[in-house]
Amino acid sequence: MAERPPLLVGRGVTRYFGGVAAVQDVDFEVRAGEVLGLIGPNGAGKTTLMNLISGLLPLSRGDLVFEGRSLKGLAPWDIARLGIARTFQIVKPFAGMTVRENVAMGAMFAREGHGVPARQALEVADEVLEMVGLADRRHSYTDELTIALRKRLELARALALNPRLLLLDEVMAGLNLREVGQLMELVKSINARGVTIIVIEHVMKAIMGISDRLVVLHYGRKIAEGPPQAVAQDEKVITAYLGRRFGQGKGA
Amino acid sequence: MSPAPARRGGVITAIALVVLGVLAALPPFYLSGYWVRVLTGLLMYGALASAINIMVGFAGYPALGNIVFFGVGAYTVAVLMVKYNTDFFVALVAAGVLAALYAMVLGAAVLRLRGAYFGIATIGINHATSEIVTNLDSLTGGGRGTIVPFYPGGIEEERMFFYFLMLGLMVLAVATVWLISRNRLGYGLRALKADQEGASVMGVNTTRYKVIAWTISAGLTGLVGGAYAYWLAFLEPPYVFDITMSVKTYIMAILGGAGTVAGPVVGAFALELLSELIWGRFLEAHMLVLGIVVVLVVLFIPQGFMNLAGRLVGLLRGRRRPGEVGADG
Repeated sequence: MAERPPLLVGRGVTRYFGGVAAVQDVDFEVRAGEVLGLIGPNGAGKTTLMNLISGLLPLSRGDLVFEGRSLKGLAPWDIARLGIARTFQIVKPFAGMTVRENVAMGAMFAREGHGVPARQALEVADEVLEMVGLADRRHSYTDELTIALRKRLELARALALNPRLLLLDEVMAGLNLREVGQLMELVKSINARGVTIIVIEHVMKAIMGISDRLVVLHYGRKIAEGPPQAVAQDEKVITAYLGRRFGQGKGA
Repeated sequence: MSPAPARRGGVITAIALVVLGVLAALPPFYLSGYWVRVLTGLLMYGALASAINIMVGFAGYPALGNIVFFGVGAYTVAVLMVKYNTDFFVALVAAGVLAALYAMVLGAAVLRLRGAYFGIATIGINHATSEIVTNLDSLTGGGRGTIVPFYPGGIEEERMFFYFLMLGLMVLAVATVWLISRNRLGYGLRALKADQEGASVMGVNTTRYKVIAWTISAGLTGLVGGAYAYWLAFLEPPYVFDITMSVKTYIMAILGGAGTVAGPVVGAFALELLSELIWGRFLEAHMLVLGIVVVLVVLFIPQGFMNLAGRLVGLLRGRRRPGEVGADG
């Protein structure tokens, strides 16, 4: 695969919680246009890394550089407006707003210079809802949606921000096989529109299928990086993660 | 959806507003002095409930001590008129501005607190401010109170003046909430009410939005306080830094429908009229009866009258969402 310029670069990214290093000295690059899979056993620091990128947690050490600009010290809203959007593992829909209004939020507060007034944003929301297949539920309130649809809503809302980089934190967890398949297609089509994506996922089939490259975290450190097939055969990865799962017969 | 229904909706709204306007302007010409006074009070509470709704209903912050801005506004008008012979309207504007600034300065610190902690902090601020005003004896008259210059006109004229003054302030408050509800500010506030982290990664500057919301809420409350000072003509700190008044406006906002535009006004009218009626019949136990009514309402229509009305309309018309502010709604 041809080298693409990096969109996001992490250098020595470190985050302590008290004396515990949740993420330690992680160097990584996200190339423009790729889908980067972030895997690792529970507690490996994947979500912490995502929280560092989106500014919900401050870095203890190291730096994150997005399009040549350091994200250090920026508030989550500043980072969102630079063009980094995200979803949450435990979805955070805006209760009390309809699906359409939830998504319109993205268009209203979109990347610098892309935000539109509320009325127009509702129309943009309709387009995004059409794309993610939620159009017929646009007037529903979020608590009326199934978990699969809420995950889709979470994705739609992030998309409406018109991001350069999209962080997906376990959008497929808790979905059945058919729903996973549909969501994989959706993620691929978003990527095809030029959005760079970082995915955290436990559904192995899904993450192997959509990632151009994988980064493997274990106890907060990066233990492997590379194309999915190579990573899957990496000795360290197998012992740390895949090996144990396959060993117990619970593999994907 | 096609633009035609939207335009028709606009015409209907315009007609409804004109009818409401005429209805609102009639009472002082036909009703007795007592009822005009009651209605003036209703309008005042409508404005206050709308102002607190910006915090409670939109941002989701229980600003229980919001009445502090009422007191600040009232004393601004009193001090400016008594000590500096300022014209009432100039003093009134100063009251709104000063209350808003007060919230802006406090907000940067206090809005870091969430939920009940914020509510308690605002109660503390109200008490502290009340004490300060009481102790600034030479300026405010302290605990003895202060007499604000009387309205320079006949009794009829005075009645008209305050009725229309409060009506104007209520319209201003409702119009402000309406504007907020249709704009980025309103959406941002509703989002941070639902989930601050979620809102922040969606690009909402939650810190700034909360401060703006409180500043607007305080400014409106300060204006009403200023008008009240002139209307009442005699001020004492316990009158205008009265936490029960704050709680009342809070209940009104929830009763009518927190986070809606018209809800707080509906809630204010309902609660004030009700308490007026109960007051007349149960001189001893009126607070008790009022309390029971509030409990019943919270139990059976927790989302307020506007939600109830919306659901009824929805049932009649098929599924249509009452809450959504949109191109087709």
